Amino acid sequence: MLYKGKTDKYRAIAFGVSALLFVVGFMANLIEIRRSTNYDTNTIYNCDIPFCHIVTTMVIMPAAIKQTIIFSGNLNEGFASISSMLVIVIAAAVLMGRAFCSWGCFYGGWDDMTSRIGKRPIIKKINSSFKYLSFAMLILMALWSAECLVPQYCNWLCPFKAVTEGEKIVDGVTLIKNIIFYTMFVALVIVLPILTKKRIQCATFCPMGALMSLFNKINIFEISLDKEKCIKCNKCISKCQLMAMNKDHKPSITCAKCAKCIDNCPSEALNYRIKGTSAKVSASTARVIFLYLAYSFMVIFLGSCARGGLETIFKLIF
Amino acid sequence: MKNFIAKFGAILSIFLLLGSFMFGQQLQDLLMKAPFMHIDPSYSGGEIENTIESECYTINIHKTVFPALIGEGSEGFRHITIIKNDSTVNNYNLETFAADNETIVEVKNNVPIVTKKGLADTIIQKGPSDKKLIFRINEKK
Repeated sequence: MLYKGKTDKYRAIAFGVSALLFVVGFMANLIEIRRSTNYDTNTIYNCDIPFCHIVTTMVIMPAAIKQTIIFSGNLNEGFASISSMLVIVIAAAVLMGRAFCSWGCFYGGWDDMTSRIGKRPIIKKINSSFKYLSFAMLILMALWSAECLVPQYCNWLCPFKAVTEGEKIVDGVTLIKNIIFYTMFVALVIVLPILTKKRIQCATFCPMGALMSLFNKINIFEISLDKEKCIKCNKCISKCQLMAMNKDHKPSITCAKCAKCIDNCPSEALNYRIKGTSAKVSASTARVIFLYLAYSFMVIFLGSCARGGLETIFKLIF
Repeated sequence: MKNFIAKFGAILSIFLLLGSFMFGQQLQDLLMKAPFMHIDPSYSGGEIENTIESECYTINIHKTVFPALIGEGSEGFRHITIIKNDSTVNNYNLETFAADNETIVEVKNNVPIVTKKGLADTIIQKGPSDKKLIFRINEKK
């Protein structure tokens, strides 16, 4: 896994499989707990909804102003409690920055997988400035959710409701919500990633990705460019699934450190770097330390998420 | 020296990551002490104002909540939780009880019927189901 040229390949396999298994395990867990994968008003009033890391982006403002969490979940007990997820999110944000989106997010695996279907993109030209849309989403969702005291991304827009926990259809509003969830999933997680070979949901729509990008600024690891080695072939720009490479071939703030650019660079001009060290001296050290960190996170966090899925599959087979 | 500190920090981050999983429960308990670690009353229903106990049911009547980011909104709700004490009954059927000085509640086959009449005595005979029965009464300031 530490071998250059294969890092992204192995990461993607583990990442994608974990994402699939997570969904299987999550749904099985919900069926076991509440006999349905849907939630309704009663589930909300019971504070019985598992906390997902994306909600963090929407609870920050009310937590600061009102000193409360605007989510109908369990604070410290049960499955995916708020405190357990917040501990993981804080640790990931500080220690990995946006690498969380490529090494730890159980939703990111879906986008990552679908963006690998097909050899060449059908839509070839896509403006890389679209990556900043996620920051607009972050601001919009944070303000809208704080104003209404409801996590609005989850309430109206989350594409992953289609494969995790949907709202029970009881009236016209819930029907519209479900239509939006499924449309978003098909468009942002399946169709557009296949057509563009980019992680469209993660790059342009996910507020969590934008929040984690901000943590890239304080994170100790980064991908750096050796200008002397760079032959300006633009492979890094075309291969980056998050459209994170700038025109000068340097990764932008939205880089998720997935290693795809490093693996595809023919002149080995890109590599992991520990901030504050000389790139030439510490390239291999930085690479080993970062990969240990990232794989540890993936194995412990995504591994525990995937375990539920594996258990369910074994139960169904045997 | 700068190189050494940076590399030390990077290696330390591996241990911090492992530590955050190993001591996850302790960190969660620590986080629970943070002042913002409370579920917003618009979900939890807020503080319990009155509890009515009977043989079959325990009724928790919460204070009226007027949700708003800052201060209080003009529209709110009163959250009521009915927990069965007797597991032999199948449906929630409660005769009138008072949610407050104005609001009268009656529950027929799990469906709460709310009227505003005045105070009423609490008479609870039948009840149950596996879960709690929770409902809200909309109120205006």
